[in-house]
Amino acid sequence: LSIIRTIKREVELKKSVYAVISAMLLITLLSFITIVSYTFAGSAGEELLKLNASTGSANVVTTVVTFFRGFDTLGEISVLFLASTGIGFLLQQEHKTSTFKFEPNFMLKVGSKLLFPVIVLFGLYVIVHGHLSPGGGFQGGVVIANAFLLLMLADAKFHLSHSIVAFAESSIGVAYVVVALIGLYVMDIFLGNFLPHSSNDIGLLFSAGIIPIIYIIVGVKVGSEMSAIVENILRRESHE
Amino acid sequence: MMQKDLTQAVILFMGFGLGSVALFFLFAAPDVALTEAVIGTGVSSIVFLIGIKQMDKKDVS
Repeated sequence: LSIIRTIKREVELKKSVYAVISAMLLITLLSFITIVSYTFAGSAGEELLKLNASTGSANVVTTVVTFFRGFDTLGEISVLFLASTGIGFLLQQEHKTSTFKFEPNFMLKVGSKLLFPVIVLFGLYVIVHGHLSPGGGFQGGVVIANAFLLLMLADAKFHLSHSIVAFAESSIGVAYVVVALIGLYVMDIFLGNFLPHSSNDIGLLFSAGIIPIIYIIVGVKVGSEMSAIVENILRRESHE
Repeated sequence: MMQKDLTQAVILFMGFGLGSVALFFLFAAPDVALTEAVIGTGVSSIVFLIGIKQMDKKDVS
């Protein structure tokens, strides 16, 4: 017994030694990162910052995501669509009417319904102000999906209309390509910025040409995809 | 890392996510911080929790 105790003590000692070592490593790594990021404040980042002024958008990250790398974003959206489709295909093998074993609390239902519009409003704000402040389509879309997740968790009778979600995700995916092709037609560039985007009105809500439009499209797309994924997983969960 | 209870592991994972949100914010990347807060600590941990619940049910039956 005493041998086991000593072994246990040794193991705990080892664990604490590991913890101290990893904490020290983390601290050195972080300080190294700060020093490096202050000395070599990236050349590519500087160039993008200079280019950003010409697009009339206040947020450089948004400009890079939706404009300079807009084609990559189209690919990301299609990856998300494939993931959602795959999850729906895998999890919808059995069709039963879903029933929770418990009746959700009255306070829970009312509280979630009170909170739902506030969260959706915040998500819409994050999406619409993507070219002015941190955030944008991806983050705002997931915030809206979280609001739907809250309703689904709190109220068993709440169900997303499958046809509406499917219509939203497919039509908005087409809209992205249509906007990009209009850019190709007008400006001879795929995703060309064909709307007025003077750098004088940086910071206004209606500025930066097609960048906010693309981010709104991305937001609706991400929101519907994530809601569909969560709905599929939860419905499968309530079957068993 | 050495946690055996899966639910507690998910809670610790959420705590790790919150810590990384603070780090991202300190390093002047609020976009990444927002994404991590919403996806890393919100959606993914809920998906993990649902998965753990299903595994528990299979263990019992």
